[in-house]
Amino acid sequence: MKKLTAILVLIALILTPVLAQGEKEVPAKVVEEVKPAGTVEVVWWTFHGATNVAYFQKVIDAFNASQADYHVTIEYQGSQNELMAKMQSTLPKELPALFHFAIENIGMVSGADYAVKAQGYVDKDKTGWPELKNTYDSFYAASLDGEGNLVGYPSGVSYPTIYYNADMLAKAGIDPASLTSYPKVLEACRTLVKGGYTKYGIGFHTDAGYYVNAALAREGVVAYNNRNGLDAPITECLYKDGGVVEDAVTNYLNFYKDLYAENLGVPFGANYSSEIIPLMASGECAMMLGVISMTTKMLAAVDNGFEVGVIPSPSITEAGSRAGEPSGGTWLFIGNNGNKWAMQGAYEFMKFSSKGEWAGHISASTGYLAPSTDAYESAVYKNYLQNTFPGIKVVYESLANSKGDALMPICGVSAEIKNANKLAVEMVSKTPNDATVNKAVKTAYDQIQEAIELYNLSN
Amino acid sequence: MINPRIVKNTKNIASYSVKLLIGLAFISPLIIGLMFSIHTETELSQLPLRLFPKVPTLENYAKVFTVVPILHYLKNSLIVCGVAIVSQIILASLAAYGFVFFDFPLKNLLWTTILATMMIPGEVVIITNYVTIQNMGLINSYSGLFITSLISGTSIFLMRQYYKQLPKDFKEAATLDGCGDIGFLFKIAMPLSIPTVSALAIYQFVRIYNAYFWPLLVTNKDVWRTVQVGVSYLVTGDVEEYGKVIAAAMVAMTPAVVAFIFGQDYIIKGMVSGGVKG
Repeated sequence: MKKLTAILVLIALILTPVLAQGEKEVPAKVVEEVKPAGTVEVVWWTFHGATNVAYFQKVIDAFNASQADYHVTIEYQGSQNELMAKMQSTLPKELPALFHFAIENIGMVSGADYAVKAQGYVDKDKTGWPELKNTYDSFYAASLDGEGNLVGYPSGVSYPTIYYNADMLAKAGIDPASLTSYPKVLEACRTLVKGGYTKYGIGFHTDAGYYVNAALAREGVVAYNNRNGLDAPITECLYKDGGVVEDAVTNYLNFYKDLYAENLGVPFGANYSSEIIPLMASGECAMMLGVISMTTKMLAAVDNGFEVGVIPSPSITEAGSRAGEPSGGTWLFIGNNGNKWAMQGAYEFMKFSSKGEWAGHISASTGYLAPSTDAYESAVYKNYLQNTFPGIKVVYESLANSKGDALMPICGVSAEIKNANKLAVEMVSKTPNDATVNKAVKTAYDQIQEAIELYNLSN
Repeated sequence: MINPRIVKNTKNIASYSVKLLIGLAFISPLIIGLMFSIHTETELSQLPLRLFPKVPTLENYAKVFTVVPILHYLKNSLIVCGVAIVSQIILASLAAYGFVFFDFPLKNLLWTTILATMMIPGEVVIITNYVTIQNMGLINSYSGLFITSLISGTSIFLMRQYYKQLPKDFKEAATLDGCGDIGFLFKIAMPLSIPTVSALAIYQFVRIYNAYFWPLLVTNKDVWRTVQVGVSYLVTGDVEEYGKVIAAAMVAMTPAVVAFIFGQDYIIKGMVSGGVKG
């Protein structure tokens, strides 16, 4: 009996995989090519809070009023990381048709199931999208995947920049336009602090990992193989290549080493909003490395106490190319929720919001950069340039001379890369000596390489 | 010879001064928050920061009440807390009673399993719970918000510890008087456990009221949002408007502070009698 049972079990085990059919594939539902009558709801998930949502709402209202096919609703879903976690764990039917993500995560979005690339819609679009052609090269290039497909479109372009107290720099005889590389920024800090003009030369936004990428990009250094992920998935971090990349990373960290060894900077880790901007406003700090979306906060704090200026992100060395512009900030992407018409509506809204008038409105209200010449030349943005922040023109001059994107790494572990970079800067700022610089480069390399390998193993 | 009365008074003054200073140190974040909430945004962005504003303003509170429906968020939070706490008290009492007064097969294994759930951080299961909730169709509903808080190992543990301390004579006397288990539980054991139940209620209130990520995950629309998510909604991109955020935090923390003030004695009694796993 036992033998018979064993034989039957064996036969069952052999036959099971043979006979198993798995889940029957349900034929894909054929969706009508003609949009069904009625208004399709387009849900948009964002990580922007109430103030910015109010600015976006104005664009949404205009879009909803301009046609009857689609109705857009914006919904707040927590911080960038929380929205990312939610997108990744939400079932397709519950996903939004439109969502905001930081452009640094384009590599993640590009390969994700929860998103579709905008390029497919652009290709089928018979009415055209003129604003796309007028988008600044750097921002357009940053919106593409490695094969040149448009993945998303800028909704709030941020940009690494150094804010400065123009009056103080003028008094110290420093020409802000000359601060094109970090050694020159260091020299300016020495002049400002040792000359008694201020207590701190510069303070840093603590999202240091992003600025490492930006600095490498401005240097013209490709820090990852496969052209930073454009040609093929990144498999290797080049921080320990014993050549150009390692030198660039080391030089960048040397800037922090020298700065903190001479006590020229606001202690690293200070909050930009509650500590560094108030320090600048009170004249105790001359410069701040941040992003352009901090403008409204900066101007409000300074309250016309002095003129605020900005310079584009410097290169690591004076020999750096400074040819491209590193992008940052918020992009719009189309969510893959299976609702064809909601996704089409998302694309239509993406186009609508890029119109000069509306993109200009968002940029002028939030302090983000105009993504296109249409937005830059809009009446609302011209008013901003003239009356609110004339100093920002320098950034557009840099953009006009740009050769395109400064090529930040495109991969699914951008958050891990940023964290590893930040740790390296923290280590050097805390213990500013050569040994720490070497250790920081190795630690960053090890962490990034491990993250890349883990990601590639699981994807 | 120093007058003993003067010595006593001096000791009293010193003792109260020290207590007052310690109390002020503990309450200072609240006082600072309250004072900063009546500063303008510009004043909060300039150094030196002053505790007392140049011109006190309620504009931050006005903005909080107009920009976000904070009272609606508060209502949602209180509904979720109310349902979850009542459920926890009833279910935990029943479960704990069973563990203390009944013998049944696999009792120890079951108890160990309940204890084991207390050792798993909530963050570990939050995404799988979220997927389950989506499959159950409970997104954007009160059910989705409170379903994971209806019972917890901590509550069962707390109630069990209390019931274990009840003298067995009580049960025997009640049984002799013809009182069944349900009668004993609801007429004798639960009324006696009011300090523990209160501690449990306050502990769970603070935990559920302060929950942020779960309510954010299972709700998409404003109408279902709880107060903690509402406060975070006031932070925008790279611009942190501290005045508004602090004002909203002051409004949001009011129910928790009130609950703590009125229930602090019970919390201490409950912790001492049963022990709470933090």
